[in-house]
Amino acid sequence: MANNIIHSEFLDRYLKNKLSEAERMAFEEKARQDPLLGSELNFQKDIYKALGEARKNALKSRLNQIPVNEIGWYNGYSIKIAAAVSSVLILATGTYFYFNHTAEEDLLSGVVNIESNITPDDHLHQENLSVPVPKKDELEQATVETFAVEKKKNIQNEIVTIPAEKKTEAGEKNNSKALLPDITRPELVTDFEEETQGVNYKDFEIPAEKMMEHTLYENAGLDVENIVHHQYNFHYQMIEHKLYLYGNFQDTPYKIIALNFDEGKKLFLEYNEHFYRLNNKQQEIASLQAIEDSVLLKELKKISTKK
Amino acid sequence: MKDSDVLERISRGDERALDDLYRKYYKMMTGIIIKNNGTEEEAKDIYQDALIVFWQKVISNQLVLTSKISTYLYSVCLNLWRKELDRKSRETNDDQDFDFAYFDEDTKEREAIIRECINQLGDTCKKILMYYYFDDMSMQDIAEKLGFSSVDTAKTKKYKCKKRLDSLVRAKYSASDFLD
Repeated sequence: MANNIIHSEFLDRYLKNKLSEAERMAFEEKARQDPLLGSELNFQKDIYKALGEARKNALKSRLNQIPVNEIGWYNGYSIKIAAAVSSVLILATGTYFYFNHTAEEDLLSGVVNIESNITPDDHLHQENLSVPVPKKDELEQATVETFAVEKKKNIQNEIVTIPAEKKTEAGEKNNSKALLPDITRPELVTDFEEETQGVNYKDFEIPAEKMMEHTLYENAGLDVENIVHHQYNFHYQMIEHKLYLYGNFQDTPYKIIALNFDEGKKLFLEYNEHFYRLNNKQQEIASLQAIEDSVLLKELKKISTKK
Repeated sequence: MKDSDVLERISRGDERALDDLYRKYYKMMTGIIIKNNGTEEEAKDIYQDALIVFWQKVISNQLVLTSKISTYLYSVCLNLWRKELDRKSRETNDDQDFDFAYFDEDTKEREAIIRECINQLGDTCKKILMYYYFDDMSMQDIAEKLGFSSVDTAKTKKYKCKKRLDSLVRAKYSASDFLD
């Protein structure tokens, strides 16, 4: 009996608790009466349990590789953060023009000054946010006028309808925080109190250095799809702001990093301790080329490992 | 990242969906544990456990989600943390000698042997068995995920891998006198 059972689907169903109550009881009764079967059953239960533990450990190891220092700060609260980050980006860009600095490091510093003429960045509409569009004269006052006007159109097209009560709530918050734009958060979980979520909005009035730490954000607001392809094994393409990664990216976690340059946001892929440039307009499949520029590499590493 | 997308990705075994979820709710979920007297390390551990519970339930089609994913994770985190607090409380209240008296060395040794044997399997074997027994993935999904030519190939490989694992464990059990 035991030999027939060992590798049977029946045993697997028993181990996975998929037998009916009657089947399970009958099987256990049989195992009680047959010591050999009973012993085999215990043996198989041990192995089943150990395989489960091994899988859990594998998944935990995977999760442990994900850096958590720079995450969570903005998660679920993307609107206000996005607005704050956007203002920093704009200011940093403006500062760049003003002082005509060339080093990338200079772009990563700057004074946080949350202005009312904030213009949202790409990642805002990736988060399905509804963002008020500044009036034309406000746009003209913006430091990066062209950038702002281009985004205006996109944002109007991607505004997400939200329940009225949420709009009201967002509006109230906006009144109390006049410096932040009226942005709603359709993805926000409403099951918890704000306090439980652990976010203190005062956090946004923080030094520029800290703000800029978070220009490194989750997948840079990108939708990413991994494609296993016989011909393209380490390639990518970018279609409609969606990144298609060709190759085996399943086993090793990767990270998308967004950096802000005077000409706009640039994306980088960090994978297996190497960095690769991602061209936003790369519609054709192209191979991933490792970055060799030592200054840029140093900056990317610094940002990626920043505690 | 919509809940429906996450569920769909997890259903087909896309582990990156788990990564994304982990990042998305890390602060929120660990914050709950920390606010309830947990350390950051404990919070991280509980949150990871909760995510793995979620992963297993979704991938094995055992979960009919009627709330948001965050709500579900929140309740699992709290339940796991309550259990952990109970365990810690028992540990503090119980007589340490009493615990030692019931400390099952044999069980620990058997577990260690099986772990060692699983590690001796090839990567593909390990994955097949873990996907089949823990994730409860169908042979069809396993074949697709691991790039086997057919479901039958996946079935045969699973059979051989399981047989090999059993043999490895039996051999070590014999050497350790567990099969007397």
